[in-house]
Amino acid sequence: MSVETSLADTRVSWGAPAGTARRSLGVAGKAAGYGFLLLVTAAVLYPLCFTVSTALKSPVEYATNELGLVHHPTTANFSYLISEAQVGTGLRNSLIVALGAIVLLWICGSMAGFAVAKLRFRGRIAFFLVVLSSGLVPFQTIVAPIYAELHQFHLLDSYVGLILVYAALGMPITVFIFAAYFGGLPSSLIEAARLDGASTLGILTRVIVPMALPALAITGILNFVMVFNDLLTPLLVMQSPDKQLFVVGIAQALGRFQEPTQMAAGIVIGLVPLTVTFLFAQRYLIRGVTAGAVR
Amino acid sequence: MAELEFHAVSKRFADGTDAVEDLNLRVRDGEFMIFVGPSGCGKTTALRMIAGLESPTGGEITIGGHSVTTVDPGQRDIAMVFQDYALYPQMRVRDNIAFPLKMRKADRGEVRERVAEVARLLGIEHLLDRKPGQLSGGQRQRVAIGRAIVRRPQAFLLDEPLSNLDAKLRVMMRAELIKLQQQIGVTTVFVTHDQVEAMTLGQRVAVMRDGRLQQVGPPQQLYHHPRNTFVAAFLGSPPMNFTHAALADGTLVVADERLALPDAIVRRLARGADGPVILGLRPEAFHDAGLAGDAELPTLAADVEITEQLGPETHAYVRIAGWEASELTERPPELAGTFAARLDPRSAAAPGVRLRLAVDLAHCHLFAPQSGETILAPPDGEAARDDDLQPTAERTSA
Amino acid sequence: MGATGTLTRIGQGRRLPKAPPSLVGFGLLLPAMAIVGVFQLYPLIRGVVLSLRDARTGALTAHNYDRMLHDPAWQAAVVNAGKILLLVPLFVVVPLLLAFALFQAFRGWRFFRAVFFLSWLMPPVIVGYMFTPLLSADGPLHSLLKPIGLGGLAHDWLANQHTALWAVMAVFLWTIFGLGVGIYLAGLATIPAHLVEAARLDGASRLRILRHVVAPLLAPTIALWSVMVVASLLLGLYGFIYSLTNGGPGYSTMTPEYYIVSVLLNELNPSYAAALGTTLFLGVFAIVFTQMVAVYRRVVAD
Repeated sequence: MSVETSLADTRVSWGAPAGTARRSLGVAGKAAGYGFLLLVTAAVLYPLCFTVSTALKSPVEYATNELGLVHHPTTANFSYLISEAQVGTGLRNSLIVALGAIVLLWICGSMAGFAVAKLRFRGRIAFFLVVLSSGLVPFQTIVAPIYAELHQFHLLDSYVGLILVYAALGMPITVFIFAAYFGGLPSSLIEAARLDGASTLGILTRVIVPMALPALAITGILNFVMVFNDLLTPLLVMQSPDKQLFVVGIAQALGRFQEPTQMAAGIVIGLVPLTVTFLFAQRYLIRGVTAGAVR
Repeated sequence: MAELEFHAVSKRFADGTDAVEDLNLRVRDGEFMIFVGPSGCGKTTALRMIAGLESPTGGEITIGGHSVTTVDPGQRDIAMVFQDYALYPQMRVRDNIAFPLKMRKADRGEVRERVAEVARLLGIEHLLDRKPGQLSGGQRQRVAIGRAIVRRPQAFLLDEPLSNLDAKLRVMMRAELIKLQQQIGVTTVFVTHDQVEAMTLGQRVAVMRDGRLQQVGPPQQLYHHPRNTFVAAFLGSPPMNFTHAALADGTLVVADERLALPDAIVRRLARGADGPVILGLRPEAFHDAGLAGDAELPTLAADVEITEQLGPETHAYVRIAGWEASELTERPPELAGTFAARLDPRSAAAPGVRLRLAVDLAHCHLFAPQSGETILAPPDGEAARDDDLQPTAERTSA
Repeated sequence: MGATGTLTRIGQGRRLPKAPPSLVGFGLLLPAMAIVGVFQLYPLIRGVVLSLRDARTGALTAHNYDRMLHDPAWQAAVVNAGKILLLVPLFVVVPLLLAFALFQAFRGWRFFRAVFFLSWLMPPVIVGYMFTPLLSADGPLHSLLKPIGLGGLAHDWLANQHTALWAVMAVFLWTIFGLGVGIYLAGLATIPAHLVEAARLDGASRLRILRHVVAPLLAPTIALWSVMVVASLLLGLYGFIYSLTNGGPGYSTMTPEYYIVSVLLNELNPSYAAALGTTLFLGVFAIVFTQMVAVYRRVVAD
């Protein structure tokens, strides 16, 4: 599939190509299918709604009105959480680390993916396999050695250290996606650029990268979610509270609390950042996933 | 001087295939040269070696006298139009065309000027601000050509550029390319598998097969004086007819019939060239004897199998008593064993009809049965120029 | 006209010799290789070496592995891992069904797609905390189900050692099914429409079309998702267990990955943890490798 066709397809629709799967279902079939979907949707939304409503209740109200709708909504729980869990600094730190890791992954991953896909040289398959299999190394396996290493390089409790670890963790899937994507680009474009006198670096920046936007989108999002939602790594690497990441802050606060309404507020706050980003960037996210996910 | 030369160039790929073997060829400055042949014959590989996209495994390539075998493609001052046009999809047409100039750090004023000039030449001024995705096939091709000529290269390479166009557009673009090349006068190499394009476009044509050059020369020369059965069968439609015959004392013996050969042919025979031969006759060598014509010509009985009425002429596929069409004759399976004839449209030929065909041997071709090489020396006054570098006689066609 | 005017002559312009392609290739690979090498591969090797050393004396010994084989907690963890892997078909099929349903492209399907995707974006540990009250006996779930007579379904899922593991699995499914749906939808979009149309003309029923036309073409996507599921099940449950059960009750929700961290944090015994970690790595590698070989054979056989 040429790059042009695939981009056009994703712009049009994500699901059925027009007319493919519209088969006439019986009414019962339709109802069953719809019911199934609604059930799943309810299963997804109910816990969220419940948590939000709990978070808006004062502890007093919650004691009497556990399940019902909020009668006297209050934001006291939220303000309490925000100060207790260092939400502001947590968000800032998570953003720094996530963006740093993504940029590093984009640069190194695209270069490596391009080399594997388009250049011929000995050992390229071997390299590719090594990088991919390193994705299977459980973090727990290397937890202790990494700790020792970071300590050695004085990278413990630093943004740089965490960014490097995340770059290593995200590299396999990133290289894979770039390699798969570049593999699908017609070689004649690169040859034309060579004839036009572009250097290898020039080809990369002027021809390849502009065309690689779907791959950049999907790797960006996958890695962003990975970094943002991760618990174990920042727990290990970051020690000072003012450098600690967002999720760890919330998790530790939640571990300390007992009061359900406060916990609910903490949960809501914990869920908000990515949800908001997602709703915002939905189009690009889905386009990126479709364009790059499956060959 | 932008001459292109292949000196004993060969290319062997990593998997062992010999894409090009011992190619010696010169493309003269300003010439429109065509590489033609069936797929896999090595023509595209040869083209890519000129560009530097492939490196020869043996031999040397020179451009304008400089050896470029190790020079980077971007440094060879060569432009190429790819089969899929290879336009940068995210840039506007204007930027596509300007790209090679920007890569050479040309100053902005000059870039603008040249892009405008090229756009005018190709009639694409109104497309300059569009993106390739918004263009039709023919328009994209013009943009690709524009990008190639904008930096005024020493040589211009085209890799089957017309094969993605519909028939009508193809004919139109053929004329435009000829005009363009004459206007600009740049050395051009054009690769195609279509023999009609080869015949109509090129000043000289190089026919290749299995990595080897078969013959090179002006189209008419290849058509009338093919050096082997492959070239003879490749050019011309319907393809040449072949049959087994024998030579005895300057007379042709076909199916136990003796046919006199014209003096012009006999003069070109090598001394003592007797024995079995392959006789090649183009469809236009046959005439309907029933219509007014040269009464001196020998005639044959022919049973018509199929006719194609084209208007200005009729193609008849016939069986001739006693004459066996050689397996070299290219026919679809249903018409195996038939001879193709180009007849006057007034001919009475129709399926099932028996008619008499007159055979004009003035332009017959004779080949040695084993090697397929012609046994006729080139006609007087047409001695090959030394830079046609005809390939040495080796095993060519079967 | 053959001159190039102010622009290049042949061979001039760049004085630098052209780098051989292999050098360029390696140059491009180097940064990625370096990062992965330093922060994944080298620690892996160090971990293996570490596992063979005694925690106190530093001498070479295999007694960490010996301890591992007799460690009841580890044994329970491995058994749990086995139980978890039994659920792989569930994780593969449920998103597939949902993807098929969405693929009908009825009105409003995009809304469902967005909702399904939402749950994947949430940090596991937070999701765990969110579900804790929901999964308790006197929690809201109970109050919800009792009126409609399903009160019996509301137990203390997380406190009961027979149900805790499945409860954790349910939460995990809730979280990642959306990603599976997304990946399947992407795969479905690549199926050429005319194949389905041809089958319709041949009179095939919906179900037949799904089974014989669509499913085989979807095989690579299913394979990809299966591998992702297995890897996540074995390596990605940490946050959930942390907030839901902390490995308990007893060892009923202890998984190998979780046990390793607890050994590290509680016992401060890096060499034993390294031994466990190495074993986990080999196990995961073996499972995924066999999976991929099976898939590869299937794909090549077609």
